Amino acid sequence: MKKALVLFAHPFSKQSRVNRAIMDQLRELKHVRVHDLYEEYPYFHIQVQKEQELLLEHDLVVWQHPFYWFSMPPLMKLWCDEVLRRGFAYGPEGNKLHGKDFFLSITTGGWGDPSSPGSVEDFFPPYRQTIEQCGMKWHKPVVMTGTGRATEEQILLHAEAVRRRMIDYCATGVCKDI
Amino acid sequence: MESGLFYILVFLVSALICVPICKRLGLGSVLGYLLAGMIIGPYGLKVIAGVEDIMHISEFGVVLLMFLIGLELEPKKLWDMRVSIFGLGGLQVLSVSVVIGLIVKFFFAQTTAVSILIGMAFALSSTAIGLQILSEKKLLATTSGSSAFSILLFQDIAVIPMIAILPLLTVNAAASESTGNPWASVLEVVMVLATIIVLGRLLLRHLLRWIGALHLREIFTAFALFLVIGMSFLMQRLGISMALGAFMAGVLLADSEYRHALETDIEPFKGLLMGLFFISVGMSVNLLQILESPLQFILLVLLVFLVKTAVHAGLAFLFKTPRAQIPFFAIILSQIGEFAFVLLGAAQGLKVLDTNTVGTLTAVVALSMLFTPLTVLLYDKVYLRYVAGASTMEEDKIEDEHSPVIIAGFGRFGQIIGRLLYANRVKATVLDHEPSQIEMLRRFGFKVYYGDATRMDLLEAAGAQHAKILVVAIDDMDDGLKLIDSAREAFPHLKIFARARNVDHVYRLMDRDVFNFERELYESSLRMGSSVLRALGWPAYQSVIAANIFRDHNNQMLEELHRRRDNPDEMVSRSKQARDDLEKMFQQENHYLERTEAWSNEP
Repeated sequence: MKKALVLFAHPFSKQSRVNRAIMDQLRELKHVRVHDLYEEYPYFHIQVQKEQELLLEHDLVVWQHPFYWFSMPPLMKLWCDEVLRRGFAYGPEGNKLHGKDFFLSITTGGWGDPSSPGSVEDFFPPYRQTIEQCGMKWHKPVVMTGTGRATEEQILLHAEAVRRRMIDYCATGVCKDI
Repeated sequence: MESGLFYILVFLVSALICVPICKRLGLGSVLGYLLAGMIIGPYGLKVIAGVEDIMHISEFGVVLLMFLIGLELEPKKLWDMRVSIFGLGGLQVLSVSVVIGLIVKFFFAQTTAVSILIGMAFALSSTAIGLQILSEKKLLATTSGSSAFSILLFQDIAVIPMIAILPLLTVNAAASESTGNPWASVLEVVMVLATIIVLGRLLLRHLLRWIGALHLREIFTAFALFLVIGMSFLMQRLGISMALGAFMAGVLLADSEYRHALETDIEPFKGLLMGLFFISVGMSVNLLQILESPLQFILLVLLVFLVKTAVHAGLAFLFKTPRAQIPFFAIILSQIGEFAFVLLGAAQGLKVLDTNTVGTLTAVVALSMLFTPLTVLLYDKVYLRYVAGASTMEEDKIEDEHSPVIIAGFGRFGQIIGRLLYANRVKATVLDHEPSQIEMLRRFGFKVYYGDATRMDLLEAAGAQHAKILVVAIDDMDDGLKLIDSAREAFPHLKIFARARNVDHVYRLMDRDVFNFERELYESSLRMGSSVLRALGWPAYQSVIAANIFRDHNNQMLEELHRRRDNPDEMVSRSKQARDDLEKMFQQENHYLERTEAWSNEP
């Protein structure tokens, strides 16, 4: 069995219906570890070594967060800056993450409105660059737009899809697109 | 004839046996000393005679106690207390003297002179016992505690005119010898006091500074003792109470920078001499005389207690003491004090009283002192448990508000927690035993209740059943741990958050599986550490990170050391290693942070 690590970053997770639904789906899975960054480090002091060890233990890394200003919440970004260090994730001997699988799972509030600036994918290059710099394999992101007006059924359906993708991965080691 | 060394040995052995036993039985140390005295005294095992000589030496215990209390009181504070000292104190002495005097005159058919004398003597309370119990129970800071202290202080002052009018009483009695004009001696006293205050202000500090600069600890101690004893000697020469002299010396030094040094120097002497004092009181109890007619003595002591307690309760009511504190205030001063011995002795010398009466009265005085710890015990075990539990609930109306949080202790630590919760509309019930604090907080809209949080009935009344969290923020470490233990037992569902005073306290919390603790001062010290780094030119964020790393490492190490606590050697080596680890960690981290500037240059 493969193991998956979900890094969840939402500063006010109580307010997020979708993220909560996804987390609820994933928490019971045996081979999936949900790591809630804002619960773990409310004071923004990330324990780098612990995070690196966690990464090493898992085969698939998932970032689950709401899209804030076309990017990630601040603690997630801090996590990147602190944990993906030179000598660990890149640079000389920075091969510790090589070959691991990765996908991004984000939720957006208003995206999909006529006023939305193009496609969400337009804002993924920095993510992809980061992941590939670390030698990890980029898989197709999972996006749920328009969470503000989504019905309970739609949310459950999305959460279920994410869950299915994780179970599949853990069982087969293949990250199928959804 | 036995040697002095033998006496000291007997004193120490008797104290070493009796005091710990009494303390264990919850009887308090005062009773222990008293019992020790009764056992070794001339009416007990007759190991030691010459009670009076010992009494004279041991009076210095009271003297030193008064000096220490004086040290705690700045002149300004004393001035603030003037109303309660002169108003409350004056009324107490006056009303108790009158009531007891009238009783003596009409029920015991004594002459007016004798009635006045006994009234005065019995109005006095024991400074030594009262203050010892108040400070042991940490009640000196409460309203009733400071009232009691005011009264005791006034009594010490009142002894002077009492002794002064003794010769006047002899005019009524058989023999009369005229001793000079009492007003002249009062004038003399005032002059000397004024001189002492002026000289003390001007000279004493310089002298202390000079002696402190010598860095000879024992010379400093010697000077401190000299100061106290010298002052007392002077006062005694003037016919004023020695304790008052020492108290004044203390007040004179209260706002000097040597206050704490003096305090720590005098403290051990005080404790031992106080013990000696109580032993000598115990020795002076004439067991034989009492055993001849025990009922008579018991009734007399009870009468004194009833009268004094009733009058004190009335006074406390008049001076608006918080209701819950009135009973304790009333009983704590109900014994007759050591100055009664002095007055009775003087009266015997002036032949106002005959030897037999003096013997009886002395026994009553000593018995009443012996009774005080017992009444306090009765108050604690019976009144507080069965009577007050119900009545405080009525008075304070601790309605179960279903607050999710109970905060025990609302000092500087608990307050911050309370205010944060309050501002966020999280209901919290607060328990504290500092009444002045409570009144102030209530005015600000906090729900604060007066009471000893270590009492489970109070905790229950405060809604412990429905609360989720108990914050233990009381000052006293042992009380806090006691509270945790009993709360765990009575309300196992409560999540406990504790304030830790130091590392040892942390370990004791960990022993109890309390891991939600915060070390007081710790976080603020770390912040200060960051500020220092920043002031040294470090970037602000980097200084904060350094403190964060330190915190993580320190917390981790603490848990590890707690596990190895039983093995001191291992603990020392581990903590040494931990220090090295931390240093290495910082080196690595700072190295990394310095290098990350090159980040953009790296491919």
